[in-house]
Amino acid sequence: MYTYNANDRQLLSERVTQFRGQMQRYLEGELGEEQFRPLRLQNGLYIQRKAPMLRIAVPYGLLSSQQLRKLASLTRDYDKGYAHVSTRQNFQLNWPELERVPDLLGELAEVDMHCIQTSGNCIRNTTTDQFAGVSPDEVVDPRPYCELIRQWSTLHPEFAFLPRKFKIAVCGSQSDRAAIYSHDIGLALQHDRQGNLGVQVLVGGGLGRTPVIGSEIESWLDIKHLLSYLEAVLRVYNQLGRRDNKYKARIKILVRAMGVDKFREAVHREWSKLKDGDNTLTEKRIEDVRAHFRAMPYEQLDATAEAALLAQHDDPIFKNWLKRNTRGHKVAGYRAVTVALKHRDLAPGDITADQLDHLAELADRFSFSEARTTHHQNMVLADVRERDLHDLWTALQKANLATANAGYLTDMICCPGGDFCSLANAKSIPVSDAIRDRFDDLDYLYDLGPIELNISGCMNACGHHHIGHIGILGVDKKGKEFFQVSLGGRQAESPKIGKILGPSFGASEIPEVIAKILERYVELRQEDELFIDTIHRVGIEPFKERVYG
Amino acid sequence: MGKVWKDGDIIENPWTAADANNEGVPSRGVGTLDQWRADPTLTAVEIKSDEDVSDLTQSLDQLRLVVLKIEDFNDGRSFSQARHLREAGFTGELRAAGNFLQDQVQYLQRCGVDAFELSADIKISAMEAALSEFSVSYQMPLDERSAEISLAR
Repeated sequence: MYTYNANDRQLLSERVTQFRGQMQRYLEGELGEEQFRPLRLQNGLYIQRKAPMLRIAVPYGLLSSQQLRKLASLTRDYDKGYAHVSTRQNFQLNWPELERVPDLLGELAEVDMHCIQTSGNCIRNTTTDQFAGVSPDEVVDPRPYCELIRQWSTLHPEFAFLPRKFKIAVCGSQSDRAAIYSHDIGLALQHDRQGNLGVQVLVGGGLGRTPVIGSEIESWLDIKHLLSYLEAVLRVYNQLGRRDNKYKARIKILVRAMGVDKFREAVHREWSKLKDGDNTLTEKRIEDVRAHFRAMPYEQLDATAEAALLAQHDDPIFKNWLKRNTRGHKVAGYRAVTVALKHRDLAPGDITADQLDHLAELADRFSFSEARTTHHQNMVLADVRERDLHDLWTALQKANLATANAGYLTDMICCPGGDFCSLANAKSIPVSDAIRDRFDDLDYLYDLGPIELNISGCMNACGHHHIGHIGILGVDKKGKEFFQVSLGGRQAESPKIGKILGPSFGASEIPEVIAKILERYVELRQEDELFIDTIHRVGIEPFKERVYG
Repeated sequence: MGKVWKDGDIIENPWTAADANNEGVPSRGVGTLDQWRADPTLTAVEIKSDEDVSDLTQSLDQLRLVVLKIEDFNDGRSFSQARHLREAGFTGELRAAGNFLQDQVQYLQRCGVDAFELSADIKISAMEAALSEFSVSYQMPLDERSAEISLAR
């Protein structure tokens, strides 16, 4: 992973000092709420329902075991002993004290971590595939490019007060695991016919109130132009994006209002001035950053022998976990492991201090001292020898981190909702609990096959309900909580926004509604047809009839 | 007539403020963009956040002062306006005025602003400290002066 040098550390330390000063001015009354607001948000600090919420950046989801241990200790010392993984691969603390946040930042900086630009109307943490660098379907490792974007966007003087937040996601594989069509900018790394590296640029995707699938503005852009091109897009957005209505301020609204072609023309006008300028990536610059992401010191293993070692273990529970929560690796004899944060005792994405420590130890023992956070609110140990999987599983089981549901119905994405978030219309966590309790028969879930169920507590869509195969959205009707169900959303390969099934339901009705949808699917599916494929083949009418009939 | 911070000095503002109601812009007076359009011989112009600076770039040689009028510190368009003007070759005084925060002055400076109109809300010592809050940055510097602080390699 990227290792900080003295300059990176200098910047972080100056940032902590700056924020300490801002907090002091706020507490002394020198800075009003209104002035402090953008300053604290650019440092990931929200004032929430019960306490402040602090969002800690995990650049493109990569963490060292040392950082995990620090997070564990911070959740003990400053919070209630647990943290929450967000859909954008960051960590959130739900209970820090406002006055102590500068100290917390100081401690984070000790392990090269921070909260820079984890909120506010600026360029946010760049996200990517949780299997970057190890997936067999990878075309190009996206992490060096994420790092280049991280550096370029960090404290960028021109883009700290944009019309609204701005999110970039990068994909380097054939299958998109970074939801690039749902981001303000989505980037897909790919080679042209001559083998030159470039990037497809999508713009104006997003969820929220107005879900939009991103539009392509460049089919292939030479990689050396990546940053100057991003700068041009941001400059057009900064100048022309709406500032009169925050619900219409995202770039998707601007792109839609101008039309993709006009928007592209405007970008090209700016870009013509920036292209080949200082931001042009030289081969050396790219190589310097790539050097931080070299392949791990893998052993040369004999795939057949490793498979035989693995086959010795015939415990059906282990074999099931192996099938569900591990996936192929580009290096023979290794697998990538999904560590489920979907245990019944915790809200989706929550991880306790002890679990963080435990995971740090397992990362040291089994996965080159690194771990990752995922868009699906799980964690990943990406480089585990097959022969170690049984030991790893045994250890994960002890720590309640081995729920074997990765990719299945109860591997839900769920925002913190009304239990924590002051924006929420409804409590999303109890709904996810109820669904998990209703569908606790894993064999039934496996029979249903992969299903993505995403829950958001309000239309800001932090739970990405629009792109869940089943989406659940909390809505407020005259002060009461209701939930709207949508079907057919999809993130990868021809992404789609789900269609709303019909009138909303009370929270207690949701498990039964899901049960009816699943029953109907089982009746309708042809052989091994996936849930999402059945919906797209038959449409939502049969499901509507069953649910409302 | 207020005070202006410019290149480390506090000076009396030698220009009179822009006034859209002026029939004619006095000498040493700042014109609005409309007034400048009517009389391109003016040497000082005030640009509001929602105005387009591209017209000005046609005749930058004549201009000695451009005032970026910031009405709301949350409105970041002035940052792009500043860079736009500097990248187009403007070498005169580029001044921020209005409702900006001390926490924004270094960003403004790095976008090319070299003077700040001081208001009661901003302490001079705090502002000067804020100008050197960061000794390093990831982005390419706009000019030689700040070249040594860029981390972009």
